[in-house]
Amino acid sequence: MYDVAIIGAGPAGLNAAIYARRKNLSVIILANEIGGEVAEAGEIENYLGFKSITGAELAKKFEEHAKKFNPDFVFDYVKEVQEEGDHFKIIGSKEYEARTVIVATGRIHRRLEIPGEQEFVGKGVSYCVTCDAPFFQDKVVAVVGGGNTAVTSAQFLSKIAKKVYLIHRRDKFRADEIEVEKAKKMENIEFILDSIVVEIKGEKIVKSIMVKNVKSGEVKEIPVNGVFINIGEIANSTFLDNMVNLNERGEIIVDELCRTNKPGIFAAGDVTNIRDKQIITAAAQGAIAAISAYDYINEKAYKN
Amino acid sequence: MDEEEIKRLLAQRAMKKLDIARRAREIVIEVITSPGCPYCPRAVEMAKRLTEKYGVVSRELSTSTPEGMEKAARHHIMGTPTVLINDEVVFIGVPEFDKFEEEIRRRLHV
Repeated sequence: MYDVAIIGAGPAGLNAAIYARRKNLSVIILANEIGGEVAEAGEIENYLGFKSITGAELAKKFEEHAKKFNPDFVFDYVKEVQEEGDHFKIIGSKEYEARTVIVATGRIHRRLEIPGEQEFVGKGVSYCVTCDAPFFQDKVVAVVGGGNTAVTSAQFLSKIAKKVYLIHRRDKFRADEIEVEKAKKMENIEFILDSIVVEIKGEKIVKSIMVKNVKSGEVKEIPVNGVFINIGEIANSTFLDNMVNLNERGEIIVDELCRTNKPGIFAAGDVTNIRDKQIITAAAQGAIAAISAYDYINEKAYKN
Repeated sequence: MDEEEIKRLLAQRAMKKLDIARRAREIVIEVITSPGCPYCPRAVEMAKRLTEKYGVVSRELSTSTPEGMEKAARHHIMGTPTVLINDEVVFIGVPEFDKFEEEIRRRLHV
């Protein structure tokens, strides 16, 4: 039986582990991956203490820092959390028991949900530029989305691919102006605005996309080798939906002490209803959640 | 059960174990990874766990090596991690461990 089971190993989960271990609580981290969304980011310039660092490097530093305090670490995919008397059972490919749970599962990539998308994942359709860019050397790719991730992905790919289409459903970008300007200056990036991808076609691998202009209604086929879908993220909370209260966006509702409505279950980082999804705010919430878990365990011990 | 019969059963069991060990050495897991892939270490770790448990062969092939790129091109792989067993693409993306193990057990006939 652990004092704390932390689900997720991004900045929120790893910082929670540091704070909990330093309070001498026994900790198990259950995660699919280390670093979370941070590891997929390009250059990061707004994390205190690092003027400029790549996401992968920062994630590595987080991991090393957390491991210094020796939490148990298990790669597992958590399917469910159950209440068992005065503690919780966390069910993955194995079962784990803990007095408290800190949910720090972040967000997962939103899908377009169009024909061909599912079929060609790993065969030209990708949600992770840093993972799959090497396959598109001198190829033609499309990036779908209008946020910072999409625009910086297009920039990153422009250095590897022969040609990059940046497809966005509106004519204005949500991305920072400075990034859009940078992309506009890159010769092999072509902007396709007011347009959506309605189908991905191929044979074994992606061959083309059907793109519809939402203003004129015109549909045209564009030959591409790859499609990077960067249309945002959704809270990774579905495995908990019967256990804690979620808001209309599927985010776990927490108070300022990172407590959910279920005593003993805490949440931190991008999976919560926190307004800003930033690395530094996620790490801060991880610390708060760990201290709240510590208080919860102590109060309970005092009562008994 | 007499002594002879016990000996025969024990010998049979030993033979079966040897048989599985022999088959395990013929099973090769390859995990295609890339340096920028945060999900890949988990798939590699699973393959290592299966190696320890069953004695199958496993190795990581990175897209940063010519060997990795050549393998990916031959199988039309355009995503990481991708898991191959005996040169056949079995999982695209990080597999669930239970399913990964089942693929190995099926090939071992256990």
